[in-house]
Amino acid sequence: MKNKQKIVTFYLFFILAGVSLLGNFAEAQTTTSCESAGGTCEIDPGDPTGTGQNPCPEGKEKSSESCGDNWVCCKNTTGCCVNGSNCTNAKVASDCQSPATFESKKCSEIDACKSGGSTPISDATGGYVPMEEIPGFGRPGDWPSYILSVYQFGIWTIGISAMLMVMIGGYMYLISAGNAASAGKAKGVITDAITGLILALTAWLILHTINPNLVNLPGNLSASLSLGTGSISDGSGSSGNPDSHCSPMTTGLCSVENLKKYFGANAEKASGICHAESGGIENIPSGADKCQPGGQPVSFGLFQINISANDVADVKCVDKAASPVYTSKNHNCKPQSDYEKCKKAAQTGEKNIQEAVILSENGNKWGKWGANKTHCHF
Amino acid sequence: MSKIYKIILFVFVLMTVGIIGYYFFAISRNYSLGENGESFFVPSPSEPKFEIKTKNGKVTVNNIYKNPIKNLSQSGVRFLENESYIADFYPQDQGFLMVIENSDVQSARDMLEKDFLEVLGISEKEACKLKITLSVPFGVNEDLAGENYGLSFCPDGKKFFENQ
Repeated sequence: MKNKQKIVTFYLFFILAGVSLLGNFAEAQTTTSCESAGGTCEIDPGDPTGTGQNPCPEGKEKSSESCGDNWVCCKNTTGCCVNGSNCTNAKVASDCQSPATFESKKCSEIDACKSGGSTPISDATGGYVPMEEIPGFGRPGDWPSYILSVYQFGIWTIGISAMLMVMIGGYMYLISAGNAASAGKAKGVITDAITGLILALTAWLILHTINPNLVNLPGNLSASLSLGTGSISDGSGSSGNPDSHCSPMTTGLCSVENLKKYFGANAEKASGICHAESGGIENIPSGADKCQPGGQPVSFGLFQINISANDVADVKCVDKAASPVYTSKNHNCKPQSDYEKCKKAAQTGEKNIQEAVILSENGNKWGKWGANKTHCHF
Repeated sequence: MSKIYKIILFVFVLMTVGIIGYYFFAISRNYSLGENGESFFVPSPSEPKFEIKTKNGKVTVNNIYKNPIKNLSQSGVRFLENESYIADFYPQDQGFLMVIENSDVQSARDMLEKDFLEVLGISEKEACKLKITLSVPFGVNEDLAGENYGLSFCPDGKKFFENQ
């Protein structure tokens, strides 16, 4: 009976773990080989006309990497180099990647980007961007936030595991059928689970008693544990910079509290920039950045992301939203096929903030924002 | 020994039931959970008025959730919008966000403040108790961006221009 229980428990875990691992592995298999080579997997439309037309979206072409049945691996024909950096003059196959090794290059290493007319947007050389999300805690913007997210994820894992073990212990107790040894073992499992849970909760309680920020959301912790790379307010209301005229916000999506989970210790600066750019209004179009002669706005949302020059989080907008790129010197541009799609993405608070995280290199560099030059001085 | 475990188990079950009960209670009372897990009150659209708690006391306002112009993230609501200004309310911190969108910033502010009092059905004195952020985006006026000007008739309200 004892062995049977062990075998049943082992198989239950084996099946559960196997199913979840296989699921993850299968997903990884379909995306990793293509994505690691700088491509994306798209649904294969086939070739109904028999003309051998490009199955990939505009600006991309089919690549040999596998994505699985009915999917096709597509790579950018121009633009994308290392880690989300962009250079509209670069051709991915010949410029961004060395043919011999398929090793990606940075925009700064590519002649086509150095010459005039190119728009290197971000080389992502600074800051820390996790490759994968921590379940339930997103992608923390700095190291302290990352540690804290892992810690909080651990607390949740302990809680869920303890509940699972109590259930397993209960089941074992149920099927012990009066066998004292089996019942004792079942009790042991329940006891161990509850003891573990109490220990974890006690640890949480002690930390909470010392400083509630230590167990709050990652952003708060990162503020507490920041190693000095960010700037915490000294009460001046402008991220500690006496020259700054950008006060951090306390209401809405651009409140410091909300932005902490994206920018960590740089949340106050981010809040000040957002305040100056949009007043914290989620879907606001720019009053100044407009394509001429049509008058269509090209900058939108909390951080006034210019959709003619930047992607919006995972939405590709460069060359697709408006062309040529709207700059302070060039106002002549025309909306393109994905203008509405990109506008909608930029007017979504979450995506707008995510793009701002990328462009500002986790809140460390705000030189791309006009309001920073004249007002915020971060 | 087994008695202690029974007590621990009992407390554990009680806590679990309590937490689940609290969440059900919060949902039935129109409470939502904030980013940090704290609960906050979201007014029901069926009520004619609702109370806003401020550090200077409670203010009863017309229910702006009744006919919202737009529902926003974090249970926020847009209750004023035209070519000159936008006004949103966020229940999480019971705060109002207002921005001027017209280059004639002073006229737009005057209109906004008048409409704000009218829509909320409150006096200037009551309005001054509320948590308000009134700003001018950089795209509208580069010199005025990045500051909270508040309501012009309140003691903490700031003027747009020195010579006003």
